[in-house]
Amino acid sequence: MRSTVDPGGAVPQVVAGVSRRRRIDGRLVVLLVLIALSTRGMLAGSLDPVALRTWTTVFVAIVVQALPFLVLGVLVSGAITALVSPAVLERLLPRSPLLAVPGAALAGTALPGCECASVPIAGRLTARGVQPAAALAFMLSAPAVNPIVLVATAVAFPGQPRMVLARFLGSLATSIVVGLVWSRVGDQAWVVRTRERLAGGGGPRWLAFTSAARHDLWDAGGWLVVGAAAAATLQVLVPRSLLLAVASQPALAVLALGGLAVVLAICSEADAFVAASLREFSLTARLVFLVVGPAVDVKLIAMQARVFGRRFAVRFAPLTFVVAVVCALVAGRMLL
Amino acid sequence: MSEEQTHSVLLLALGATALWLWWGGDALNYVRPGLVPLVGAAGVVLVALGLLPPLGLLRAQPAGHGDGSGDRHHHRSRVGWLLLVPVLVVLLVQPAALGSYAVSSRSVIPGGGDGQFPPLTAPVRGAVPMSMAEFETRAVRDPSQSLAGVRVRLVGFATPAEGGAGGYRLTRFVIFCCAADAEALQAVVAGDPTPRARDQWLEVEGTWVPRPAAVDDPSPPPPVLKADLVHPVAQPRPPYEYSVQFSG
Repeated sequence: MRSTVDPGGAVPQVVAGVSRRRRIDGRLVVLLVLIALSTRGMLAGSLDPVALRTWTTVFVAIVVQALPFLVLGVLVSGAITALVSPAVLERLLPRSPLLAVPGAALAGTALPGCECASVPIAGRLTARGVQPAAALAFMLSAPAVNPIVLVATAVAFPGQPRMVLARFLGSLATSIVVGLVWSRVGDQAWVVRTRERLAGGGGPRWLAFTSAARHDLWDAGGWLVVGAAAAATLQVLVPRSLLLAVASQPALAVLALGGLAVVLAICSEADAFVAASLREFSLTARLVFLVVGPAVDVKLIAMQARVFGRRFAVRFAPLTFVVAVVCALVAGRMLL
Repeated sequence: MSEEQTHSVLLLALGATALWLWWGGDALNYVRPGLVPLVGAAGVVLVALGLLPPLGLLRAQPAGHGDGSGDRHHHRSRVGWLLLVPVLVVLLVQPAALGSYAVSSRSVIPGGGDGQFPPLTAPVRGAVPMSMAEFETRAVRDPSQSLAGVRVRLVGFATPAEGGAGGYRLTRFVIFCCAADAEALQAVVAGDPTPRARDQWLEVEGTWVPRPAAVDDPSPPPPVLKADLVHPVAQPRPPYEYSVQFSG
């Protein structure tokens, strides 16, 4: 009984226990890296199963390729935390979702980034008090319709400028429609978790900046690894020939390319070239691939589940998929 | 070691890996050259985040108890530990550039583009050097058969012919952003009596075996090159081609 009321005895014990556990964690990293360094390349020879060799290359390629965009994203999200106060955002953004959502979607077109960058940014925006529907519209439009992506699309489809226009309109419409639908049917409770977890802020700006950047890197980076592993696994396991057999059926082809975009998780700067190479498929089906890819894929679902919560992700991903397919089909019907 | 310090070590390891891939040029096995400096820049930022005070390893030791950041960081997920996986894969496995084992599901014939074929470049040492993308596109999509009778020089690696009929295909991957979106460009090599090991890089000189253009066929058979001079070469750096559009 006496020990529980004696703070002098209990507190140091707890601190010591916690720090001992953490010390093991930290040394484990150093130890693992040292072992890896001293045995460099040793495993390469034993990795003869061909699928595994392809898997490691594809896995590392996705991570390495996404890393600069992820870092850019967490720097921006750190800057938002350190520099943008909720009060400023409240003044800047219209209160009505009917104005805020299209505004946020258009703002997204100015930021050249990867989809992996926009997820943590959207998380921070919500934490700073931006209404979720607007932040989500921004998250969907930023990777899909920025200048770099549109130029890449024009290069990949020479002589077909309508493909670029159709992609622009299809993706912009997707982000606005999803944002508006979410503002109607989305439950605040599904994303409110973000606000609690990411609140932080206050204190010196540099500390707020590094703290937010490191936190987002930890979270989003970890889930990027999960997504890259999933994409690499599916690429290795699902034969391309199976997909091509599907291309001859128009309705099936649309769903197949939509599903392929989800599964492959290719960055939005690159997907136009992949779409261009899928010549067996109709232009409309390939447009679906381009509109779905930056909005919803396995890597993004994993990252969104972390940033906004699992309950959010299981509702948001199907909604986005359906809206993206419909918007792409409408844009394709009008333009292609 | 506090939790923040542990995270700092991991960020440092990740950043150092990115810097190493950039500095040693191994990043070219995974991404296109334009992205390589960005990988280096990401490494610099990661190292800085891991080192700089107030949270990095170089911070002054907190005077009191606790780790300084106190209640700032909330309970963190464990998923960030997975960032160690790519570090360990790169260090332990050192994944190579995509090779013959990845070809089967990724073979592609470039499209015809806008149908405009620029004049061939001048021959060097008796043959026109060209990318696999240019060879394939001219061979399969050019109705005016600009390759007919032209001696060309191609670089690629050997892939066993399908069906185990002997012979091999000269293969080169084209990537657009990273190795995850690679597509294989292939030409059947005829007339080389020497058996070539799988994945051996070769420089092949020879002439195209003419065949009518298949302008709109989505999946025509690969073109055939009648080789008259073949010799092994080191893996080129970068190992990939980066565009199926060869003009410009």
